Amino acid sequence: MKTIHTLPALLLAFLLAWPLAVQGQVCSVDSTTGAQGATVSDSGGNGARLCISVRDADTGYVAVATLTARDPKGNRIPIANATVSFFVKRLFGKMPIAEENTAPTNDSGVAELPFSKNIPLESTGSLTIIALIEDNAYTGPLQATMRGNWGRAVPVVADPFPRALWEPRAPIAMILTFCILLGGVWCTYIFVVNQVVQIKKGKHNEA
Amino acid sequence: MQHEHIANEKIRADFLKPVTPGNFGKISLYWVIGLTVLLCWGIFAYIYQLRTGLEATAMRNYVSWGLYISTFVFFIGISHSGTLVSAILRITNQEWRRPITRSAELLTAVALMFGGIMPIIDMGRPDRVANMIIFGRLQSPLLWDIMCISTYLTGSLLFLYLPMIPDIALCKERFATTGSKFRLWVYDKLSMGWKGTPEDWRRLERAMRVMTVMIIPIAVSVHTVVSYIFAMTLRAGWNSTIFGPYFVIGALYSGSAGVILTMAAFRKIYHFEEYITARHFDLMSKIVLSLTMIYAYFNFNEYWVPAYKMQSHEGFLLTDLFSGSYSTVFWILQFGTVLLPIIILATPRGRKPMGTTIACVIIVAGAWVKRYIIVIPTLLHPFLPMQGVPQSWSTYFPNWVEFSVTGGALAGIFLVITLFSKYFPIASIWEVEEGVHLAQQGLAPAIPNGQEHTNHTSHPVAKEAFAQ
Repeated sequence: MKTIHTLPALLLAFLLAWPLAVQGQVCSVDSTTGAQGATVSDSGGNGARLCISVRDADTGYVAVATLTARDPKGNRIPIANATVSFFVKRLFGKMPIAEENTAPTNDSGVAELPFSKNIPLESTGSLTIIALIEDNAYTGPLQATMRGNWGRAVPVVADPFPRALWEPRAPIAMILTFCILLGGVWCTYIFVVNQVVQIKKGKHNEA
Repeated sequence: MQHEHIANEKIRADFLKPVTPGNFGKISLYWVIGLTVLLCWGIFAYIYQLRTGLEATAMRNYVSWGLYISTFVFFIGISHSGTLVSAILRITNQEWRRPITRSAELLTAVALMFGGIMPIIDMGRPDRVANMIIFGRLQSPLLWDIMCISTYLTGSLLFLYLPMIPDIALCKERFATTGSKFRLWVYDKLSMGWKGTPEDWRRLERAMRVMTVMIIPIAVSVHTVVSYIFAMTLRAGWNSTIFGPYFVIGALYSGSAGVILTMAAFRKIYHFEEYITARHFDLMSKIVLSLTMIYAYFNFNEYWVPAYKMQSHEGFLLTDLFSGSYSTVFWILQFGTVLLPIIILATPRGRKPMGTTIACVIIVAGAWVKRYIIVIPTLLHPFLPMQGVPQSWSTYFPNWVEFSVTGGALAGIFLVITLFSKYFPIASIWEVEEGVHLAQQGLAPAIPNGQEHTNHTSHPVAKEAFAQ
């Protein structure tokens, strides 16, 4: 009987989990690589996995993507000759991390791409790097992302016009003008309505 | 005093006749039913639009302000009538204004009510209209519009109501035995216990004087701000520095023509020929004639200056207006609704009631189409070329939904005015009586033919007579 009572809850949990389960082709999971804020991506069928990390180099940084899959015995093996594209996440999309932003995986399943230290950081002080396999016959699409501060901090310049017509906040003079004009008009209305109310009150006083 | 009393009784009887309970003829009944049906059809079309989304209309990405916004601008323009005729003529002590001020003020308030809802009808999600205020930016002309129109509507309702108080008290007294309970309840509440004591008159006069002065700048600001929703955007045809005064003059020109049409309708239907005389038409015609000429001057400037330069996008738009797909309508508007009324109203014969009415029908119809010509062609000439959209999106003509909703709004205006005239006097009785009394005292001209006097908007003796 107890099982019968839990059935609706199980059914509900299944229905909620189902859309997540079917999206498994390109899903991001928490990283186990140890890199700051990194994620890896698993492919559903053959256990393909894309991991991303970043290491220091003399002239800049190197983005490293590692592509692996499981063989029929269940062992994890590297996948070679897959093209990995590297991007930096921007507000409305992604920007290629370097002029040439693709690199093939080698026999160890590793694709490396150097990038400059001069990429401007986001306002949050970090940079999100994306490794992407758009279309691969064996693995399917995969994406891994990683956040870190590999770039140039952009100094925040004080807004010379914190209040302006084009800013979220209106100029003080504008607010004052509106308040004075509208306030004046509505105060006049109150005065007029008060005159009418006084007429009514006059009747009551007379009574 | 006896003569005055007889004169007052006749004026009261004449103006209270349409309001008398039970005086609802068959023609009036059919008229009201017809308008109600049209209004209901408009509401049905609007519900269909709400359920289907704006896809139900002919508006698409490029023409997102179609017939609705054109009508909004037109209705707001018509609403300037009350300001002009009532406030300006009151402030300048024009004695002949007395029988026509109420209808002008009524037209203002009703046109504003329906004009104000047109932008909401144009919204795909009217349930979010409150967000315009909650999240509105003070820098946005749309917010200015909301503030100005709501302020003007409140002011117009006050301006209409104040001079009605003594007349409502009169209705309450006259129909105490014949009126329905509901009618008497309304009269009782709206008359505010009016007794006509000197103190009552003093307070009423003070309130009216303040509102008369206040309503003029508010009305001017409203149509200036309505023009700003166009002029503050960088678009060919709207990017103009004279749009504010151009819209104000256009509103006064169409609004005063609207007042003449209302005058003509009430004069004919309720037989007010004795009060709304040929002289009223003559004087109003001269006002409309002056406004039409000023409007023609603005119109000329509005098109001639950019046409001389033919700057890229402005040039494409003007070519379309002068010789393209809108040229027929454009030239009919210029010659038919601006030049022709000037010719009609410039002649004494044309300023008689019939000629004036014809000229004003042309002006009002032209003013509506003119708003359409201001809104639509500009939207069809965006700075970025139309790409990747169906061919049909590059043209616009309102469909049945838009015509039905707009027709319903127009029917609503007529319906409210008709019902108002059946419950409240359509002329300010006490003001007409006051005018007659002043004329008898030699302090003002008789309404039909005299010269305007310059003193005393009100006279205590006349008020005493009214209080009796």
